[in-house]
Amino acid sequence: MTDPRTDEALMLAYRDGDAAAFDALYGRWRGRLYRYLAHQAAEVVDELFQDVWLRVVGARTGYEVTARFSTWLFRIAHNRLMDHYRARGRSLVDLADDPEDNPIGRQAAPEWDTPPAMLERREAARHILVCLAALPPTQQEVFLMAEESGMSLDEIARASGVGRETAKSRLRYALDRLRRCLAGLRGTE
Amino acid sequence: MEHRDPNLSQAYRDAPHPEPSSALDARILNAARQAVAKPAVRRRPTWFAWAIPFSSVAVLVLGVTLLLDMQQRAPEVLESPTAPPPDIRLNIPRSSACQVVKPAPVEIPAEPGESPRRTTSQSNRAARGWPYAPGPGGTAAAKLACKLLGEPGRSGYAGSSSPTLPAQPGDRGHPGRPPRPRPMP
Repeated sequence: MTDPRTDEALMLAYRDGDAAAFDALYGRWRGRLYRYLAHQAAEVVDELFQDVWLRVVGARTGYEVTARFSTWLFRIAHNRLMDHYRARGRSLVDLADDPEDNPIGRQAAPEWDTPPAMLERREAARHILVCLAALPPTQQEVFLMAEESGMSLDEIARASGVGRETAKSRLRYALDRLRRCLAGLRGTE
Repeated sequence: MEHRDPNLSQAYRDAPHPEPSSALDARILNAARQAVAKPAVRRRPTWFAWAIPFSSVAVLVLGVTLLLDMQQRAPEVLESPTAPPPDIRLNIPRSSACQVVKPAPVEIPAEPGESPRRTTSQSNRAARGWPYAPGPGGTAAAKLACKLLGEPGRSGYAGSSSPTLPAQPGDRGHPGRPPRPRPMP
């Protein structure tokens, strides 16, 4: 039976000593957070995943509801990812492509709601992870945040520590690249 | 939503994704539970539960015993800090053995040239003397008791208005000291 409480209420309950509230919260977010990290740092995903949750545990005493829990959680995950990149001698921004200099993002999206869509979707599901891995890290991150957390652009911007327009541009170019990549993979088969 | 592409989202959801292992889940959940677990209460021996009541009762009994004992030994001392010493130690009823003699004016035959001030001074000294005198039917033991009760240094309980005996020649509070020579007129 699922807990009817909101994420924020569960986190507040855990802060006050309710261990079962954390179990419920963990059950809701474990898969999404794991995927968010796995698609960006697959080689150390377990380590990062555990660190993020331990940071959540450690930060419980100071937790206040100033934003949605997902924003807070993914902000912690983003910071941990930055630490990982720094430890490897590079930053996420260094790896980023400048979307404004990249003309491929201007391409229009294909029509996915046509009858052959089912077949195309199956194909797309097979290829999208390849295309996602080929994205610049900043675009990869905003796409994963949008897909896994269900956050709005403002929340994605806050969680990733950038302005709203920057987050919007990154996401738009990420979508364009994914479409183009998928179209290219379909054409090669 | 403007920043979503439903087809891409669907493709992403349909794709196979990695999941955290059950061992990883267990590690994290255990850490989370331990973080909020209350510190274990140290087990104390069974007798420790009785230690505080027992010590409280012991202190109470000791206190009451001490109070009763003190009351039996010196009730007056407990009643008033300036009360006279207890007669109970001598076991002599004061009313029968001793009588408080009202101060009588000391009459010293005036010598020629002696000032009347000396008479007053002597009577004052006498007032600090023996407060009690044996009553008419007093025995020798009672007289001794009265003497003991009225010994110098215990004048505090004798009261301020119980001078009795006339001053002895040379008595200025120091028995045995010769009297000072009186100034010649």
